[in-house]
Amino acid sequence: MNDVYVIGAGIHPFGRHEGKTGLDMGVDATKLAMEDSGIAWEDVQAAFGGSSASGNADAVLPRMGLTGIQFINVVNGCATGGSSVLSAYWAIKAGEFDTVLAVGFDKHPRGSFNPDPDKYSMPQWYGETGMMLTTQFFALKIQRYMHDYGISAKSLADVAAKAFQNGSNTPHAWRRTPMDADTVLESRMISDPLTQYMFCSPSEGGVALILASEKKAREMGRTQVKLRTAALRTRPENSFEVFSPSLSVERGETPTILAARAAFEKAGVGPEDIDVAQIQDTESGAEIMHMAENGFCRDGDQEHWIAEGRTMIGGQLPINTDGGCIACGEPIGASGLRQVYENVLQLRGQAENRQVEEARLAYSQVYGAPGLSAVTILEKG
Amino acid sequence: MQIADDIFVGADGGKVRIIAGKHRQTGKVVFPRPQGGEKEDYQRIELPPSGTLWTYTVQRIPPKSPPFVGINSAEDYQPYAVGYVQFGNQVMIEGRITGDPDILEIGMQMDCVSLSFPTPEGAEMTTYAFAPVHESRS
Repeated sequence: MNDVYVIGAGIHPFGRHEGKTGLDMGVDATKLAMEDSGIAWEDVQAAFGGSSASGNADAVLPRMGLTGIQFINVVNGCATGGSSVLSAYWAIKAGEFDTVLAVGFDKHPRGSFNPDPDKYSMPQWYGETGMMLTTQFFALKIQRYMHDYGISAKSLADVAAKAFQNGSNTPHAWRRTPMDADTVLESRMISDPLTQYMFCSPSEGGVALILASEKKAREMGRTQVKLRTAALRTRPENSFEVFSPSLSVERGETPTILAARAAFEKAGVGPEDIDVAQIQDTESGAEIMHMAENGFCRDGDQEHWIAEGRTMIGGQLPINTDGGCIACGEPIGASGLRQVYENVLQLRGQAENRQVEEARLAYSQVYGAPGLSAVTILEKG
Repeated sequence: MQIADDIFVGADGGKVRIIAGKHRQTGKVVFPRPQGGEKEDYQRIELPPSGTLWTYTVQRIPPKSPPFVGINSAEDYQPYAVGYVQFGNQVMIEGRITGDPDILEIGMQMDCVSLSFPTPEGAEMTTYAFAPVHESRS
């Protein structure tokens, strides 16, 4: 079996960028990743990429050079970026290639997403009556979770305040002004119990990663970051997922629980071994629920974890050190790749004033509609 | 105008029954009743007239159109609640909730009712919804 390394990483800052297309940002990120890796574009053997609103990702090819490279466009909802990394990982692991690009970019209109019911095989009336909103789903899920496990609105606000604090220290973040928990709590209610600043917003940005076989990584002297494992799982029976006109009465496991378990098993490590984690925070309730679904704590323990600052930089398990989706926004094609990019910086010791000291194992998890989760575990080489 | 003709019955009398599908082998209940290739695998059933509120939220900001067909202009938009209601051990159904969202609590008894809302074109759309029992029966 071939070990896989991340030898190059590039990002176009997230946010709003007038006069720039999503593709422009994807190309910029790809050029930065190439430069970072030290290899030439002609040496990239295969590529996986995704964009949800900015056209097919293989449109980077005319701009990078038409080398005849094998490029596969990836479409997997908000987990598109995670799926691109996973595909690149498999391709190298299989021994087929030594150098693979994973790229993602996007540029979304302002405001919440308005998905087309047909695209999700949903009846039109579900959207027409005003129920097909991802924001509603997250609110419905956290409302019940708070009821069952005693999570407070204060904890929701603390998660967002942490995101803005970390975002203020992150050059690639969109929202770079700290905001205290009271301001978050008092901001406009969007979907009870979630207020405006507890949600991430669709945004713009691009990320590219160059993955390489161990042989190539050694040749280039780029063995600083190893991709220990990557795993993706789709929804099992009885999980509570977005766009569900009905749910079974029993509550079962979630795609995140399955993906996390698979990743930990394959990597031979446990949640307690992780030093820094980037997990899906579409809104602050999602971060709280995903802390438990990924195995970092038990359901309900988040309340005291957050109160004690355990997920802040300097705490026991810093989470979303670049401000996550809440501070960076969510360009769908790039979001999961951003998490891996941030972990690469953390493991190389390049995260500057948000650096997690002595980080050795870094975890990422991205969740997307209609119910899938992709996890990676990176290790300092 | 009824928003779809195969998801509930009885809109005329105010109280409605939601139409679901029960899998002929496993007994699993789903809503809406599947159409197309798997339609015949599911028996058409009507759910009980009331259930228990499992979770809820309030849509405080106007949904985008499409797909929303109600009035969503900033001046005239009316927030509405949405929730899942559990029907015994059968299934939970997502639906809009009528009335004042601020009185809602998890565990409340809810009746299935009809809900009519206007479109910007002046039409009236009717769908199934839930109402707290003490409100719908008073």
